[in-house]
Amino acid sequence: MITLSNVSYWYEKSSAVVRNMDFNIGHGRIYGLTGRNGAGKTTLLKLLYGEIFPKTGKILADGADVSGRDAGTLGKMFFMPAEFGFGHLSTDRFIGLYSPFYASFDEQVLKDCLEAFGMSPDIPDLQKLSSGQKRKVLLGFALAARPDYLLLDEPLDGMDIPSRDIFRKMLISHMTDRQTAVISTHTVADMENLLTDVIILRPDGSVFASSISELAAKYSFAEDISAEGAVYSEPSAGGYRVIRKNISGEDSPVRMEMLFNAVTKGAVK
Amino acid sequence: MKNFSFKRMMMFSRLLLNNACGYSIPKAAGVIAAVILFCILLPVLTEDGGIREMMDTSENLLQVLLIIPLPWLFSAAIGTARPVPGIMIPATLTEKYVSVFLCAAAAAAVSLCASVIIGTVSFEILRHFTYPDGVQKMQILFFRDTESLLTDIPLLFLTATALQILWAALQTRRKTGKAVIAAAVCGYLLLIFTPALLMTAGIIGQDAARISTAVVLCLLTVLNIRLGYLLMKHFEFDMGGNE
Repeated sequence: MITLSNVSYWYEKSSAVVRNMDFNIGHGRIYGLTGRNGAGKTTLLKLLYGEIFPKTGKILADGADVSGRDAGTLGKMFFMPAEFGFGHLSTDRFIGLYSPFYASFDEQVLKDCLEAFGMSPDIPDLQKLSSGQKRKVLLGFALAARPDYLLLDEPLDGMDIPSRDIFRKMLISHMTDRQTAVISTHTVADMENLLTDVIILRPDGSVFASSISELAAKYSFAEDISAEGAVYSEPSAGGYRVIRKNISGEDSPVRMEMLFNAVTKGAVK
Repeated sequence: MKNFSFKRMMMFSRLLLNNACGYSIPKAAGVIAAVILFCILLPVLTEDGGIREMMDTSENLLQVLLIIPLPWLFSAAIGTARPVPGIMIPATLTEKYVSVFLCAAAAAAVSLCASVIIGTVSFEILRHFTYPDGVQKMQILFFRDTESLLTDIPLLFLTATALQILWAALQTRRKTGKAVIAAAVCGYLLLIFTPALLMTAGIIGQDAARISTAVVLCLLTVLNIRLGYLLMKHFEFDMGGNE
């Protein structure tokens, strides 16, 4: 489990990107991390990875401070940045050099992913791939490395629509019960059926974190001709899209975009 | 998790060497061979003296090739900690630092062997043209005077570690300040030459100066190694928003 206790981070002291965060990231979950542009999604992922250190508070991964960057903690995590480049090396060379650092690395998983994405497992020069293809290779590597925590920063960027579907399938089929993924995205609708939890970063640096099952039990999401009694509403073609307190006890599917708007506008605390 | 694992250090060394060679060891070997040839041909083309003098100059030039790997690999290790920008390799700082020295030693040994072979063959061919009667004996580059080579190795190591520190210090010049770095370099050189200056001033004798210089050089080598580790830690932990 990753525990964040009173975590704040700022690039300039006057405006904290992340403010007094307190929440846990459990095992075997898929978290959707979302927020407006510049809300601090990448910053939060970097904090979880130990790439940058909190200005206040602590982040512990299975009891170890991630800022210590010890080999054991780094081996449990894999961070896929939003933008990256490979050196001029082949897939085999990349696997040969980097996979030994991950004790549970399974090359077959990488091959499965590349085949699913319609890519050859023998790529002579990774640097020559397009950004979307690079993302697919690194995602395959990340899944093959079998880390406890997969931190994916905008993994769907640059991927075409069929590839996004394959991405979801690969994640579901290759993630084990103990693995956790934190996926940052601003196209939450793409991942609606995949997520078990949602983390929304508010513009003021605070965080909204909840499991989808809790949200479904607490709120109902619907389209209605009237917005009366709604916790949050927004106009739609047929009237209003509304979020109401769930008093019937029946679960309704959580609509991520509506929830995002409700949280960022302060209607859902 | 252990702070130092030999296996992980070796894995990191392999990664570091590959990364520092641009993932193409044959290409890097070609570049090294070209530099060695240049260091041999330059004195042949410019020196007026005999083969012995040319070999002396070649050896001096090639010594630079032996000390370059340490600062070069040190700079690469900081970057190699990330296979793609943003990803950190699961290895400890100690493992990374030791692998820098291991790879530098391996690179220097390979460069030395290549220099000896290429240099000796080149000068042997030259000797055949200059002294076809075979008056002069064959001479092996760097091994003409074994005693001098043994004295040079610690000095080369000290220079390599000092260059490593200098490179790292220059990277932090904005934070540290150019004047501080310049003052540190002056102090460093002053420390090395103090025994010789004291001897010239007649304060200490020649033997005392020699012993004092050896002690100062040993201490500076240890200091460089320690300082290198601290600077690597600084680069790993205190940069990119963590200042």
